[in-house]
Amino acid sequence: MPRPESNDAFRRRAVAWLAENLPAAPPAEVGEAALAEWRRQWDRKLYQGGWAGISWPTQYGGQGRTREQKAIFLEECARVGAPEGLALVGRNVVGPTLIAHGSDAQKQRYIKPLLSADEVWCLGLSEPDAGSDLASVRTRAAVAKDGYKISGQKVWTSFAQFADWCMLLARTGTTDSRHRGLTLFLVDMHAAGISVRPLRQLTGASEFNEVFFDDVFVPTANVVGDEGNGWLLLQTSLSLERGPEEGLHRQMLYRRLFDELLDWCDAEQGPLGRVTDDPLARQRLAESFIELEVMRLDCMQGLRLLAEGQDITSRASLTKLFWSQMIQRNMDTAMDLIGTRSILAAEDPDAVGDGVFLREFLWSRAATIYSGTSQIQRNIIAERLLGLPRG
Amino acid sequence: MRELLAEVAGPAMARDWVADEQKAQRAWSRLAALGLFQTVVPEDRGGIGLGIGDLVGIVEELGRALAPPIVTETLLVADLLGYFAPESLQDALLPALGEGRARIAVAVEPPERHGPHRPTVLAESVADSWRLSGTVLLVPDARDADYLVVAACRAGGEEQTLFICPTGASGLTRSAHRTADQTVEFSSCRFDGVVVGDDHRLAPASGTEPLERLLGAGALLTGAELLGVADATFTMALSYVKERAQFGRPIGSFQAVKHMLADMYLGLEMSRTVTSAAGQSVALLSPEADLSCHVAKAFSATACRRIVRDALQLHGGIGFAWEHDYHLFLKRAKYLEQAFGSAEWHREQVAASVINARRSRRRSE
Repeated sequence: MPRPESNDAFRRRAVAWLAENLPAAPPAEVGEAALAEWRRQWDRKLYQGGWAGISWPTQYGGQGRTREQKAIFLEECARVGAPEGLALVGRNVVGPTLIAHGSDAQKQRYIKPLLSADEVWCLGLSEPDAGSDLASVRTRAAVAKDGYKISGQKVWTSFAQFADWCMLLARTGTTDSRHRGLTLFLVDMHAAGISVRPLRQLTGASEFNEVFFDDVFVPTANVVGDEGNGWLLLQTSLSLERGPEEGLHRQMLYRRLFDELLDWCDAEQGPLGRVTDDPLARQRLAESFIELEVMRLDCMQGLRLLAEGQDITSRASLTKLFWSQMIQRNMDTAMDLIGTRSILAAEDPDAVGDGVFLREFLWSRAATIYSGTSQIQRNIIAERLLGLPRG
Repeated sequence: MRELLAEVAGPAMARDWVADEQKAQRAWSRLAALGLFQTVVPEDRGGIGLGIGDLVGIVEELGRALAPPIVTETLLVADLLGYFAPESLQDALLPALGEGRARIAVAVEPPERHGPHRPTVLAESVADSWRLSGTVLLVPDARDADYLVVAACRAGGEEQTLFICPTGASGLTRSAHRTADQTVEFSSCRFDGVVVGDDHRLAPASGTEPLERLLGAGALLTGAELLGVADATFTMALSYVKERAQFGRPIGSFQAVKHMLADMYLGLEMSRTVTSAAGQSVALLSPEADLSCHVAKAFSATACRRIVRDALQLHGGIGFAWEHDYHLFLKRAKYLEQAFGSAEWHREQVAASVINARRSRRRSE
């Protein structure tokens, strides 16, 4: 058991460790595989330094600390621009799911290599015909000898091209069984019958993949929880993914972007002077700052409620609905204030901020779509928080 | 507290407050009898000693009940007196204030748009007194006030000072405005060489100017009040859509309606979070307190405006009727949005603060 540590002491220790261990930025011209390996090295460093699984029980290799301290570490990582590790999905979703619902054998087998990034995880959820209506997934898990045979297709799978394992939602029930006929599986990405195809986004990068499953064998021991229970388990996983600690980390990244924009706006621009001297620009900058503050305070509130033992699952929809729209507005502001040059990409010598605002503007268009669209979030708020009748 | 206020105030009663001075006075007396004003009197003068930061929740309820603005203003001024008034003035006013016998309205026009604040009254030094001349428009509840807080500028100078002026003072004339709001009497207050003693002047303390404190704390409390008003309209709308049926079903089952209410609820919850945090900053005397108040008012004023607008939309035609309570909240919200600085003004304060802080950081890096 680690010695209990005050939040302030924990933060100081985190800041010191990060200052000493932050990697130099990866070289500009590096291929995707090399970049992934560089991110995995960071995961390994975190693990060796004792910063992996901060709020997980020590019996599974975690640090046994509070979620608040996890939030503090994530905040400090964002503050110094620490890289995003490859173990993101494993740490945010798969690990907590296994800790809450996995069998002892599964916990023994999977959690440690997940934490050390020896094994990388991806999530098999969305399908071409099952996005917002996730309960309609068609990937089938047919009963076979000693296990199941899985066939179907998943889409928007992050990290699939590097993943060793996949936590997969598949149908074990009848075609019309909707959420009652779903099961969560742990699937070996190196098994026969799996193929991965990268998908390119409008940002130019290929963050996501399609994954095809052709009669892939999965042993019975790799069912998480019980057959037919997949939907309920998934709700836990997804609500953990959107927890306030992740929110605070995200907020700090967005705050860094704002600071960078502010610095550019405050620099002399020749005959036009500084952007920060323009009252209209000041209004826009203030709006961005104010909404960043609201996001931060909302996440702190979420942490407080969690500490009081309250269930913040439905409230998480308010949080996500807010920040996803906020980052779009903030990036719109950045593009407006930068003006004509805002569409210059990173490789162009005249690009502002090395094209970071263009990149983040483009990427932010997806914020109101991933992790539950704004329309779905509003349905959840209206039905579960306001008690309005289902349509 | 909500139940108590529902007995004492609320839309049905508020409709008559301009038309019937007696009704407004009765509401005030009943609030005083509840001990509301003792909360802000310092402990060493027999009160509970709550600060502005602690009042945010209470003031939200006052907003929800459409309580007369002079209630919040008096609570606000108690804070000012504690910080900036000479002992003699505190002795004279605070005990009476605690018992509800000193109603105090704020005669300070808010800053316009994003510009600097300019008082409309001049103060001329005369022996150990001051002579005040000028006019302040749109003072809420001045008719019912025993005292006014007035901001004045010394002739030819930029310095602004706050004075406490009895409404019975010679040379002070109050004239009722005509506004759309039948729940609040707004007056213009004309100062024709009104003499106030130097002992009625609020002096700077601990490096803070009284006017700065007034605008920050006033913004915080009117923001909280506005939140209560917006929440009331939201609650009305939510109940209505669950009851009202069209096309064979409650209109609350239509997705467009559900989504509007979800967005309104988001605005309310975020406004409450940011306002409550500002209250805590103020209560804890945090160095970030001023900035928090500007952030809170800017955000809430913008969010609440939209909530109040959408609440009408969800009622359809019936919400537009004079007999419906909705418009009482709409009109009160309009005043509160602008009180102690509009969202635009507060955003400018935020911009100035953030830009300066970033410049300091860059210099030290």
